[in-house]
This record gives sequence, structure tokens and C-alpha cells, in this order.
Amino acid sequence: MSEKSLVELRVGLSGRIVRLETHDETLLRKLTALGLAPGEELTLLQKIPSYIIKVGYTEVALDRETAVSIILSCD
Amino acid sequence: MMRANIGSLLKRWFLDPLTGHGCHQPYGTDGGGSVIALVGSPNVGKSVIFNRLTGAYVTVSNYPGTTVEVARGTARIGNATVDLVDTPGMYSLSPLTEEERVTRSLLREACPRLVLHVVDAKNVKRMLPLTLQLIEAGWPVVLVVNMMDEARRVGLTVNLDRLRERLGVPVVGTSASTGEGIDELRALLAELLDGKKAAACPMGVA
Amino acid sequence: MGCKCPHCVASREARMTVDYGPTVEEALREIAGKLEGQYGMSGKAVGLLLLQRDPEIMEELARRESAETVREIHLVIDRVENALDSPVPYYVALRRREAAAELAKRVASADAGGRSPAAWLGRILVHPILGLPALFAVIYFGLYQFVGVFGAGTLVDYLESNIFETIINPWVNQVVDALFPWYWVRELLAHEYGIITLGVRYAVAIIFPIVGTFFLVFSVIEDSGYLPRLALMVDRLFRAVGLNGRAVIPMTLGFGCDTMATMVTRTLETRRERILATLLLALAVPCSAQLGVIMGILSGTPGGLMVWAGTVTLVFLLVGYLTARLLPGRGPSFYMEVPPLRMPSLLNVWRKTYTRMQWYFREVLPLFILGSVFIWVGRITGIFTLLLTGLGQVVSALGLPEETAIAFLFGFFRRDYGAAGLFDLYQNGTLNPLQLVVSSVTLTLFIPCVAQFTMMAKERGWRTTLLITGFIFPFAFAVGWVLFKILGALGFGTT
Repeated sequence: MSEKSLVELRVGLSGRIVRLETHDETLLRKLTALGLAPGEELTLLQKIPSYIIKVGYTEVALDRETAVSIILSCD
Repeated sequence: MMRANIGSLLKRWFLDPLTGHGCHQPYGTDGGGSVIALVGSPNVGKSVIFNRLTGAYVTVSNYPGTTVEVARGTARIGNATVDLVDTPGMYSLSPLTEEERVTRSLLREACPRLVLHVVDAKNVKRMLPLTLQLIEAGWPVVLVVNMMDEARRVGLTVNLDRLRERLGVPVVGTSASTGEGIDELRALLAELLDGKKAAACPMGVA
Repeated sequence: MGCKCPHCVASREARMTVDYGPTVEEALREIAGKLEGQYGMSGKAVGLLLLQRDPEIMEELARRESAETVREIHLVIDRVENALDSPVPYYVALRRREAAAELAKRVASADAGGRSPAAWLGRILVHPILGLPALFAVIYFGLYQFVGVFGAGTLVDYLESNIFETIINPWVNQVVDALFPWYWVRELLAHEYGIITLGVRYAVAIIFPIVGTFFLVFSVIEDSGYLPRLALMVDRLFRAVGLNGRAVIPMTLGFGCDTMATMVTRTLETRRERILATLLLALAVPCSAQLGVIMGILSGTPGGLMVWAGTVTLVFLLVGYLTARLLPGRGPSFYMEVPPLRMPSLLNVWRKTYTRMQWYFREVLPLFILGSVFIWVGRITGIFTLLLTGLGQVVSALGLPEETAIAFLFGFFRRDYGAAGLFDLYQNGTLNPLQLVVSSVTLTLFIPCVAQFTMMAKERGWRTTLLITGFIFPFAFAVGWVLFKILGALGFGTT
């Protein structure tokens, strides 16, 4: 078990969200609303041209700057 | 028919319950307003449902003092003509964006006759918090579980009966883009609007 | 009284409630008991928002309750904040999510193996390499061929020459001349710059086909679920100019009609993005009307079109980059849900297109009529003559003949009029290739049309609009001057 940010995750692998490291309250809330909340499991589908992750049945596209703030625990 | 349209137009212009004097009814008495409001987060097919329910007389205008657009239309539900409002996308009752602020204001000012919360069947888990908030606020919530077809396609089933039972509000499943469930929704709305008839109560009378 | 429908007030207890834990629940009961005013929602909801210090509700509380009640409620809020180890908004949201997750677990079940048939296509469309052909196809066929060539070309030509110029305008001119003996009324309503013959014609014959075809394509792209995929494909590109993938919508729209694009910038999230996009649209995105004529003029000048396109693109990137660094605030974060692809439904596409057209006409038609009135005022009062003298001196500095001033002035009222004015000068041999390139670049950058200008004021406010135009005016001429010097030194067009 180790903590890493989404940008350090390899494509195709999954991790559980530990926390969102951002002070931007709007961003925090929007990410939560898209299903990216602590405790949720996500799978990284691709990194280029944008990050695409799958949470539950939803796919979400993110930029790298946002991906950095998503901290995961992976086994 | 024509008279009803002119009447509702006049009402919208002069006595608009959403932009004018707000709600004078004390909280808890239903029927203060005559509007059905559609709420929900972006990308749930809310506008498609709005389009399915309303006729050709749809107007889009800015909420006073903002650049946020609100679409209004009238719908023929059963024997009545009712006003429908398609509110801007909202994630929660604590507004962070101008859109969310406008939607909350609309709901608070309108004493809506019904609040249709449209959710994505694939993502009920992250959409239910808003349903709970709307119920908490005391609005007459109807949960519209949309995109049932997409949910089926990804192999997901949503037990609407159990949802209805647990939430204690009317629940209906739709796929707005194909038209599935729209007639059911209309029938449900007709029954709810005709609230005086106990027999028409969708939840059944104990 | 056991009915559970929302109209049976007595049964509200049957509706699901979230348990926020003893501390918060007790505080909520306390607050709800103290509230006297009407807030348009339940006391519990008001209480929860107060505990989270919602600014709007706090302000209403101060207005609607006695000073004593307000003080007591503040004490309750402080007490809850001290008792919880996490911030109240976070705590409340978490409890609610837990309740929702618990409920979702009971009602939603997944059976393995279900997979959307369009999933593989969805993957390909966002692939960094395989996604590119689709991206270009959408831009080339959807936007360029259908909106640019068919809408802005074929349809506009037909409506302009076959309907307005041969049928409607001559008829309007005759009727107006017959009805009004006064020159100024005739000029206001009809003839070259009249409300009907210019304003209405512009909106109906030029903008309508462009906007109509654009909205049609846009509705298909949106309804099929391609739009978020398009945005994520181009996100990095727009990042360079301080925008993000979402800006792809107003920016591509600008090549159709900048006025409409300026209006659509309101879909961007932050004020900073909206200002950046508005500036770039006004400065360096030529609309289809202008684009057509400029391509016509420069196609005869070897290398001219390349110099023009290169300069305008460079200005777009440079100004975008610098302004993004100059404006306070950070670049916007990009996050978007990527929905599954689906076959667009004709009904949805039609209704979306129809509603948008309706909305567009209500917002934009008055602006074109206003534009005609401006021209009329300028001509009747002689302000135009005055402006022409001033502009004439400026264009001379760029090595251009004074006649080009007319093209610049009218370019403000109709972007393609300006370019068409240049075309005339080119045809009668007044402009040499160097002057043609310099004036085309300057005209493209120089100014938004009057409708766009009014739309900018409407969307961004007068202060921002005047700042933007105050920058664009001298800047466009400065670029023209630099280009004139550089090209002159390189001996452009002399061989």
C-alpha cells in the first residue's frame, strides 16, 4: 500500500482515492460531484491527450494539473 | 386552447411567479405556485425531458441580473396546462456557481408545484445526495431516473420500486432520448397535479 | 391519512431523511425552532445552510430575524463548529453521501459482462493518434464544408442575390420611396444602409444560414456525445492561450459569426476565460463573411494568403499567451464528464437547433438593426466624413492609399464590406500586392463589426469592451505598420 497521485499511476491500473489536494473549493466540489471523492475506486484509461478515468459507470476527462491533486492508494 | 395560451403568456409576463413577487405561502402548504421545475446536474438529459414535455412555446431568458439562462415552456398534462421551468445545472443546494445560485433562488421563490429531479441511472449513487437535499428542503420531489437504456447497456439495473419505497417520493424511470417512460411520467404528473383525488394518489392510500 | 404522495402534507415523515448525527441534529432542531421568517424551504434545510455559513442565507437571516435570534443562532453555529473535528460543509456532505451510497447499494445492481457496443468507438475517438482523423473529419466536413462552404457560401449567395437583391430590396426601396418624400427617412429604412435593406438582410440572408447550419452541426455533435471528446482532444492547444478545451465551442463558432461566438463565451466558467476569449475573437478570429472576401483578394497574390494566415495566427497565439500571463488568476482547470456515444436523435437535434435559432434571433437581430441606425446617423450628420479624414492619415502611415480608409470605416459596420472595399481597390489597381497583404491583415485584426461590438458590451460590460477595443485599434495598425516595414525590407511583391 502506497500513496501516489493520479499522474504517477500507470494506464490501465486502478487505485482508491485517499484525498483531493486542492484549495480550490469549486474544483473540489465539482470533482466530488463527478464521483471523484475519497473512498471511491478509479481506473486510469489514458493520459494523452487528456487524462481519462473511470469511476463507477462514469468516465471523466481531466487535465494534468487536476490529476496531480488526486491522491490514491494502490496495492 | 388559444385562450389558455394567451392566458399563460399574460401570466408569464405580468405575474411571473419566478421572477416577480416570490412565494407568500407559508412553507408546507402545497399548491402555492403553479410551476413544475426540472432540476439536476449537467449531462443527465434534463433538457431533453423538458423538450419532451413542453410544446413549441419555449422561451429562453436570462434570470434577472445574471447571464444565466432559464428555459420556460408550457405543457399539457392531463386536462391542465402547466408551466415548466428548466433550471440551470446544479450539483448541490450550496451554490458555488452563478448557475447553482440561480437555481436555488428559482426554487425558493417559486413554491414549485412539483420538483422533478432528473438523475442519470448509471450514476444514482452520486446523484442521490441532491435528491436527499431537495427532499430535506421540503419541496414536492419527483425522482426521474433517466438514461435507463444506457444503464441497461452497461449491465446495470436500478430497482425503481425499492427506490420509491425508501425515498418516500414518486419515482419514474425514463430514457428521454428514445421517449421511453415519457408517457408514464406524464401520467404520474397528471395524477400528482390532480392531488385532490385520493384515488389518484400514486403511492396508494393506506 | 397514510398517503405517501408529496401532496399529502401529513405524510412528509415517510420521506427519507439523512441522519446527521446527534450534534448537528440537535442544532438543527434548535435553529428551526427559532426561525420566524419565510425562506422558501424547510427549517431543517435553512438550518443546514446556516451551519455551513452560506453567505446568502446568513444575510437573509440578519434581515428577517430579530437581533436576539440572530445572536442565538450564531452561538449554535459556533458550538457545532467546535464540536466537529472537520469543517461543517465537509462533514454534512459526507454524511449525505454515506446515506446516498447506502441507498444506491440497495437499489442498483450490476451484472457482469454488459458492455456498450459503442464503447470501442468511444475509445478510438479519444485516442491520441487514432482520434485525429475523426477530429479533422468533424472540423473539415462538419464545420468547414457544411457551415463554411454550404451555409456561408451557397446558402448566403442564394439568399443574398436571388432573394434580397433581386426581389426584396428593390421592392422595399420602391415602396419606401413612394411612401416617404424625405431623404433621411428613405435612407433610414431602405437603400444601401437601411434598416430593412441592410440590417434585416444581414441578419436573415447572411447570419441565418451560417448560424442555422452551425447550430445543426453543433446539436449533432452534442447529442452524439462527441462534444466532450472534441474538447479533451484540443485541451492542450487552448491551454497555451490561457483557455481550456471548453473554449473550442466559441472559438470555432467565431469562424462562422463572431457576434454569436461572443455571446456563447458565457458558457465559459470563469470571468477571466470569458474576457480572454472575447478579446481573441475580436482581434484574431475572422468571421466567415470576412474570410470569404479576404481569401478571394489574396488568392491572386503569391504567398499573400500565407503571410496573412501566418501573421493572424501568430498574433492570436502571442496575444493570447501574453494576456493569459498578464491577467490575474490562474488558467482554468479542465474536467468534463465523457458520456457514452449514442446515435443522435433527429427530434432532439431539431428541437435544440430550433430553440437556439429562436434565441439567437431575439438577441442578435436588434443589434443588426442598431448597426444600420449607426451608419445612418454617421452619414446624415457628417461624422463619417470627419472620421475618414482622420483614418486617411493613419492608413497613409502604413503605406496605403487614403481610399483604404473607407474600407476600414465600413468594415466596422459589416466586416465583409471592409474586405469588399479592398477588393474594389485591388481590382481597379489602386493597391499593389504588398499593400493588399498589409491592409488585409490590418483589417482582419482591426475591428469587430458593430454587432459584435454591441454584443461585447452586452456580455462583458462597457468598461471591458472599451479596454479591449482601445487595445485592438492601435495594435492592429501597429502590426500593419511592422508588417509593412518587414515585407518592404524583404522586397515582398516587387519581384
